[in-house]
Amino acid sequence: MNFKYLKLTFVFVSIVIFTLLALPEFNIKVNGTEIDYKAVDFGTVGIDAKFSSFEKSSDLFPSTRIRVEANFDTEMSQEEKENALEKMMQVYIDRIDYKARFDDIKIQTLSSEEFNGFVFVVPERYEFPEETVEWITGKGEINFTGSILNASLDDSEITNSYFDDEIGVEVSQNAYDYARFPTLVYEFKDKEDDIATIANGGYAGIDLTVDGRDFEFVAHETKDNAIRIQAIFDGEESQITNELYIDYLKIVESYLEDDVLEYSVNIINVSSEAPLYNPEGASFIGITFILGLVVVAFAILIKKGSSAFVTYVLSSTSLILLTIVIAKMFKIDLSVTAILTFVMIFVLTTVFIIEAINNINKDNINKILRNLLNLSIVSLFISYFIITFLISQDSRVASVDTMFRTIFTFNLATIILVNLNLKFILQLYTAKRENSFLLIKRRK
Amino acid sequence: MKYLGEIKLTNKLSGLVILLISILSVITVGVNNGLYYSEFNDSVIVELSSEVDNKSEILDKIDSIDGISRIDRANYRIEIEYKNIDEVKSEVENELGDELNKVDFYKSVGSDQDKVFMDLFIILVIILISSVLVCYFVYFRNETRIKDRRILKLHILPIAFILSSIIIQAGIISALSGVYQIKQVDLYSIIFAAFLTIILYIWALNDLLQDLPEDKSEVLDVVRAKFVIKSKYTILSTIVILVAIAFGLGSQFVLTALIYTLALLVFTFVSLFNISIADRINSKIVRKPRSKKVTTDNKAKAEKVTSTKNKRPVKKTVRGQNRKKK
Repeated sequence: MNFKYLKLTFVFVSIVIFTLLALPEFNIKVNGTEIDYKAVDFGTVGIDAKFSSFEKSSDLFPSTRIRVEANFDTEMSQEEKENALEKMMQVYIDRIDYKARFDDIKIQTLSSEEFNGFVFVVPERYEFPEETVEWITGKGEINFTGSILNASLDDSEITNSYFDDEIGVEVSQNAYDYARFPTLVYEFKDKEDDIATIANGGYAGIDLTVDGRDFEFVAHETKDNAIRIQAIFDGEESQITNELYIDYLKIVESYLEDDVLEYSVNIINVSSEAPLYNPEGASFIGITFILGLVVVAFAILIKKGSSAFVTYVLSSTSLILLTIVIAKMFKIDLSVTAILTFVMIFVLTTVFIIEAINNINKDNINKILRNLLNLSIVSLFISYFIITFLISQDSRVASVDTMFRTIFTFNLATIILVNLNLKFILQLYTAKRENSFLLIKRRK
Repeated sequence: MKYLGEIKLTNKLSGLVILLISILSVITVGVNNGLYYSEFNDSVIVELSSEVDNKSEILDKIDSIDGISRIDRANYRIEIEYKNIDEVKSEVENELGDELNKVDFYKSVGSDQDKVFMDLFIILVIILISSVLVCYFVYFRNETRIKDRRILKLHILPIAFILSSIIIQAGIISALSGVYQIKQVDLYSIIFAAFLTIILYIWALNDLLQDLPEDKSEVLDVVRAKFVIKSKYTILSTIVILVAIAFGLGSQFVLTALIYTLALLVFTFVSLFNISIADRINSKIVRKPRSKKVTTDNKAKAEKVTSTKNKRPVKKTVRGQNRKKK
């Protein structure tokens, strides 16, 4: 049975799907008709990834520069102020690094006789940069009181507290809120009776404030003697997204790790920070990269003929597009490190593809693909190990994180394609070359 | 004589060159105390106030004072290392005079150097260990092909060339830190180049199994030839793309691109030199007759074995001959 057309259809259909997923959001006008390409969203099937645009890093795209001033006592000496700033900086870094969610926010201490404070450079991906900085720099004062009929819950009785990002478990009459946002969970030892009282509808009120923000009780769990609470956002903040809410709760959770800060800060200036490199650079690199591919493709066309040209174009296109799709899924920042890493692995893989094109023998092609697969699997495991066990422990190295996430992404794309598109394309190419070879022989 | 593209280098010279450059690198790193100008150091920031109109002119006046490690023209800011605020203030005052009130001075605390170096170290150790394991499984998985592990330490070789490359690249980065503020991304050129070189080496080793020479002394010759072919295209293409990226990203990326280019060249050439040195060592061991401890009891037997060995015609192989014939 000849699967030639089936394979060819599969390759083209997959390239079309990858293109749709890889395309950024855009809006163009053609002859008065407006074409608005929206992001492909798989939220309905439970995949939390919007296939719109890359997350933009601060080295290639403008960021928000927020300057905050520390409220020190006037009688403090400059040396004392600098020591206090150092301590505050360490706490902020701990909060930023906590669970490695904000590691792309840069922080710098600024001190002089006239000004003592910090500068936060927040990348474009943060929808609420000022709020995020306010949360990070919060004093971390958590006041907890709970009234349960004739008893009370006190924060000194909290034995365990954690952040639960699971959403949608309906356990109480407040199911709507609970389903909408994740929760902070507080467990109480030796409070079985009190939690049971809450379970029977006997709670009078739980009052928890974090730096002045009210939290509300949403659910209880008698099994773990725990209560679940959520923050209340008013005004503009009520438009908060689920993702941002998770960010906030992670910062609040990090408050539990350190002592309450002695000094508060005020935002005194918000401005735009120009990127480290030329902002037009990303587009230029993109165009140069495509031109480079075209040059290589034409070189192959001249040297090896049209079937080798088509093989190269289809293989490279599949690889680039699927890598972009997976990179968006894993929320990799579009940064210089990501570009450099992508270039390195892509060039390496291109050499593999060209070597495969040079080998007409079917067995050789299988060997080359097997080698590519083995190397990709090894690289995937190394990068996964580094991302999971090293970088998550210490996230001050955002560039390394991006580097190994890119390696992971590319290798994942390669592993998928070696068994599908690359295999089919090279099989079709081999069949075509062998047929033409036999044809020449017969003619002779 | 060994051929390295167009360059002819003897094995001894290769070893000496690596040793000499490594010593120079260690001295450079020592003199600069690691990195001279880097984002890990504390610095004084001179920033133009937001309400100033002629920012570029003022920046031009102060961009020549001593100790500047970075000029950020996009954000109208300069960074000066190894000086305190008062020293910088007086120097800026000399240049600006009455316009001193148009600039703000801050002391900035550098990022944590130890954490970054520790991460770099751990990642390189992981890459090295994995490469040794992969090389071992790739090359020695087939026991029937190569039995003499004593002479063919192909799986240990990455440790030698990666370590010597790291030392040399560290020296280059340290030397450049005297004129340019080193950023984290510059340090990662070491990981970048190590990863690429290791993959190319493993790939060359893998290809060797498909084209294994009969003469053991030629194994490293073949590895080198395959490594050169693969590196030539990969490294050259990467360098061309790095140049294109430098054009796109502007002057701030030029030195970073240079560091990455140097890293790729250093790792490739040092790898080749190391393969040459290993080849030399292997050839010597192969040529040397194996000594066998002969006891009185089996002396006669041993003599018989030796005489049988001596009867065999000695095949003299000139390295590279087989390939030429092909």
